[in-house]
Amino acid sequence: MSRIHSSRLFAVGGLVLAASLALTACSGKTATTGASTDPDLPKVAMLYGTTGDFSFMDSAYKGFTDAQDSLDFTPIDLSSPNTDDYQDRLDLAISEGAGLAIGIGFQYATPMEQTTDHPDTQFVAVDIDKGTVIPDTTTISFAAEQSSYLVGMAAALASKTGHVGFIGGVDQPSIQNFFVGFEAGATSVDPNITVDSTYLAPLGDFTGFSDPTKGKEAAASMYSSGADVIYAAAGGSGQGVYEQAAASSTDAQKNWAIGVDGDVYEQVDDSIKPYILTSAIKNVNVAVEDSIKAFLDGTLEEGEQDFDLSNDGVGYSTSGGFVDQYSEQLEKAKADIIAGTITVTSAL
Amino acid sequence: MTRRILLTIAGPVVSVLLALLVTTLFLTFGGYSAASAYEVMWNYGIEPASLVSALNNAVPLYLAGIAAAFALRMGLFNIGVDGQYRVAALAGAVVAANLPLPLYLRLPITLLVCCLVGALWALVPALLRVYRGVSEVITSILMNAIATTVVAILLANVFRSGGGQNTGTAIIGADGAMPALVDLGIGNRTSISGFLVLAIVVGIVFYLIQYRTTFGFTLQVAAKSPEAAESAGIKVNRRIIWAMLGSGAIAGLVGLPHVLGVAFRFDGTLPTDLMFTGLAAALLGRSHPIGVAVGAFVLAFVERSSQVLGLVQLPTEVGSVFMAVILLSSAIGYWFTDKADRRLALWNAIRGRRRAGAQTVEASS
Repeated sequence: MSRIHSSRLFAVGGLVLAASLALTACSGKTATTGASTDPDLPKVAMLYGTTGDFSFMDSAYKGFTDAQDSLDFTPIDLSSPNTDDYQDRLDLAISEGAGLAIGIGFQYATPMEQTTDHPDTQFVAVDIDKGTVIPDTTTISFAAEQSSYLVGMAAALASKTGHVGFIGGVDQPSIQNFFVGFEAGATSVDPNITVDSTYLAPLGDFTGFSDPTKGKEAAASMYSSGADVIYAAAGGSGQGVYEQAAASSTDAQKNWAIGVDGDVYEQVDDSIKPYILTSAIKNVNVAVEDSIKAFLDGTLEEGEQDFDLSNDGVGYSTSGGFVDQYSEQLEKAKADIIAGTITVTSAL
Repeated sequence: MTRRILLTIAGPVVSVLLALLVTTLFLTFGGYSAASAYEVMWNYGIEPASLVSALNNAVPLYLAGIAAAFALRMGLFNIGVDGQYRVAALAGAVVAANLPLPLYLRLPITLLVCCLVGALWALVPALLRVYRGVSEVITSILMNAIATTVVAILLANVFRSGGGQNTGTAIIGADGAMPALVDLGIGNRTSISGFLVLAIVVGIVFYLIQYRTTFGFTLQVAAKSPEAAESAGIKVNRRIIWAMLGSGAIAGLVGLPHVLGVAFRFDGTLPTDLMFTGLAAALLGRSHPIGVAVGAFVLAFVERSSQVLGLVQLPTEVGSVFMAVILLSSAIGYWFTDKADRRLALWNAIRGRRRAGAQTVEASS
């Protein structure tokens, strides 16, 4: 009798197995290995998280795909949603024979430092702290405080209430850096301006970068307390801030939002575009594309590369034309920062 | 006996098959060939370096699974493993970096501190459950949120060491870190972490307490029927507290393999999904120490082998889908085998009685 039941058990199990086998056998887009492309082409691996954050990772991915369109190399795409396999992915890139491995994010600093033996693979670490020295590695840092300074000026110039705000994704040093620059820029225009700031999540809780609802709520309370320009350095959560800028605007008071990393004016719906004052640009895509190009030309050098205002590694966008009336002040400040007459302190 | 073993194995097998089925559906409808995906994953997964990595990565999952199982056997759902291991990992990182003692003293003290902190964090939901009747699920989820904030404040304001984007505690030197158990020396990073020994010890202790002591037995009785247990003289409330303390103490160890073996400090790279994956391992292994070990290894194997999918232009999310479905389907597999088990017991009882009946008829004739 027990046999009857075990057999029923096995029948169901078998059915499931058969179904999976049948489906497995279905043809579809098969795994394409590098062999189908020219094996002599140099291989370039990009190691990154997951796309869809409307900012940092998307920008890196854009640089990688743009490079694939214009340059000849075999791409190795190593993305992962996990936060504990940076070293694994670096090892994988080396064992796959990549000539260049580009790691996106400061998390690659430690693996690249600990992997000392990589004669056939050059390393590029993107968005590393300024001043970090990793042997045999090109490190790229972004002066986010400089672009934040300029949009801070724009915010103060555009504000009618003398009250602006900052919404950060996570309360961590890299985001605090945006605030420090923003505040310095705003107070350089109007020393008496009020600069509110809030962070959507505490240190270590990365949900703050992917929660538009939280962004919207924070923006709503900030606008209602009198701020009329908000700078959102919050990755995907920024979407909520942009929406709220449009939603809380009245005939009496027009509210603005300032985007981050990419040109947000180009990303949002048409109904929101009129409320995007400008965006603080961080050209991660340029960093990625340039590194690949330099690698293919054989001119990629180890050591530190600073992406700042002087080489257009960071900047501010002018889409929509809302900051055109302030361009004289902004361009002067930009020139002063490049010349060193204005020093923007960094939180890092 | 064979029946029991078969049933114990049937649960996980059914779960894994279901997960494979759903993942296959996901791939097929996405326009990918599942067969080639599995082939690529398998070939990468069975490389020696991958197997070693999967083994090392299975250790924290195993610890998380055993922590959950310790409470599950008492019928408690300790969803607070998450917060317990993060708070304990921070404490462990600070102790391991700063205690001025040689490794053979520092390491055990670090482990002990982590267990204590984890247990303390689990004590709050236990006390609230016993004295206020609040569900431990709700309170331990809230404790997780508190853990996030507490860790953030302590890390940013008290224990932070060095500047830069990666906020972390002081670096733990060789005299505070877990030594490697054995280096197989077959390519890059093929040394097995000493935490494997810890995991085995925890597994044995779990087995002895839960299956070989009166205490473990009373836990099970109290889980099945609190009223019966109470009237048999078992103090159920005290059992609840001890079960949560034990669960929390084991949970305190979950973050250590990363802190003492990978990052050598507490920082932003500590994985935050260990509890849910560990819970999947516990469900897969039906809370049995060996079953959980197999479950943890299977999950770590899938996690490692899915890394390679990007190489062949397949979505890396396949691994995540598989893991998510395992969590769901292990619950189904659980229910399924449980039902089958009860049916079998019933049939056996009827058969036994019929046989006895036949014998009496024979004897009387």
